[in-house]
Amino acid sequence: MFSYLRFIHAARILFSVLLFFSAVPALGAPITFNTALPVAKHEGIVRIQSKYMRSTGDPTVRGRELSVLAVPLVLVYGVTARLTLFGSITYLDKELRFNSAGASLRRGDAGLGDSTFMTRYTLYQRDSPGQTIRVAPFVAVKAPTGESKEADRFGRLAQPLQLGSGSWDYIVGSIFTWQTLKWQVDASASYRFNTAANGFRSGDEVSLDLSYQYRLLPRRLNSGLPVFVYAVLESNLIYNDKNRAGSVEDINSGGATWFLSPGLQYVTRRMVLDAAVQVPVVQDLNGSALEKDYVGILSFRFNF
Amino acid sequence: MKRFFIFMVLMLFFFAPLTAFADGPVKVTAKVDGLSCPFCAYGIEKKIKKIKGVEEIRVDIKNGSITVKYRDEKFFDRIRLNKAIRDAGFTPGRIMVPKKTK
Repeated sequence: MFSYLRFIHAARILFSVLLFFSAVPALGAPITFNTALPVAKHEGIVRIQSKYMRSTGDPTVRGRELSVLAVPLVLVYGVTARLTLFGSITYLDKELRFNSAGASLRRGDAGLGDSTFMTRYTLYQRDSPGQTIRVAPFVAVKAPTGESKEADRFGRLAQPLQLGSGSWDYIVGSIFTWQTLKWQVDASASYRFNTAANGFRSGDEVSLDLSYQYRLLPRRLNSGLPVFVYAVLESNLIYNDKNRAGSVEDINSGGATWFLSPGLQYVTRRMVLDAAVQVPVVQDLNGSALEKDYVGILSFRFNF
Repeated sequence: MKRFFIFMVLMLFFFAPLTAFADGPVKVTAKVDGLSCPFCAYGIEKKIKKIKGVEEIRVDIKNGSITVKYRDEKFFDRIRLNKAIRDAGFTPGRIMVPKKTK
């Protein structure tokens, strides 16, 4: 019989993953986070992304293996040239495999997760020929639209294995973007306040992101609006505070992870295709949390 | 031949006043600051295509400019063009109205 305590342990591992996948929807030039570039007034963009994360190499006898597929759909609307609204809903498929009493077991769930609504305002804008510098603070709220009380044959799934957290969470941050015809730099800092639901509260999260994009093609610009191909290198530093179950702090949760993410981006006037692999360079996690192997990202953006 | 000549004179007589009100198509070139990626530039296309009388817009990212072709010069409005550029999230620069086209 699989005990509830073991699921609590699985929860420690999974929670940081869920936080990672439910981050502010990325839109614009960087692949793993947002940008301060404009969305035209009363115009829209849609983005669909596919992220696959895998964690293996569990040193314990349980041989835990975790895979999470997240497919966020993001809709973006320009209220004014400076004020932009984002709305996203994510399809999630989570699976945790482990050994218990000589048997290989599997738990998880699939379906729609929580939704995030964000507003971004361009506070500073300095345009010159062929380049722009912008600073755009944002606020976001994550609504508990995903199922948060699902059960399987072993009983109720631990909270982080649910599709939704059940909690309303809030994100504040700011993005800096400097784009030229040849290269682009984006930097973002954000803080996520998590609230409690179903007797569980995940630790708050701090994210520091940096992206550098360099135009590979065309090597020389001609007139018109050619297709751009960028090489992308991104850095994501994520720190999670410890989770709390009731009033008890989980010493095996939280910690810091630093990803480096090489990628490629194909940009036309109507759409952007991009791909990146997030490689964890440093994982300083508390206790016995399972470390990530990699995260693969494919995404498609469309101007409509 | 004589009948044809009279027909042509009558046609000119009736239709010449109508064409006198139209100035003909015009191409306007405007500088746009902050224009540095094709995906963002599409926002300008969308905004300017909604201006009445615009037949065609061409974005030149290298020179940071747009060329807008109006069906008739009477549709060209400098303030409206600047507003469309601002609404797309960019900063309008100098506008040049170099020539009329047919």
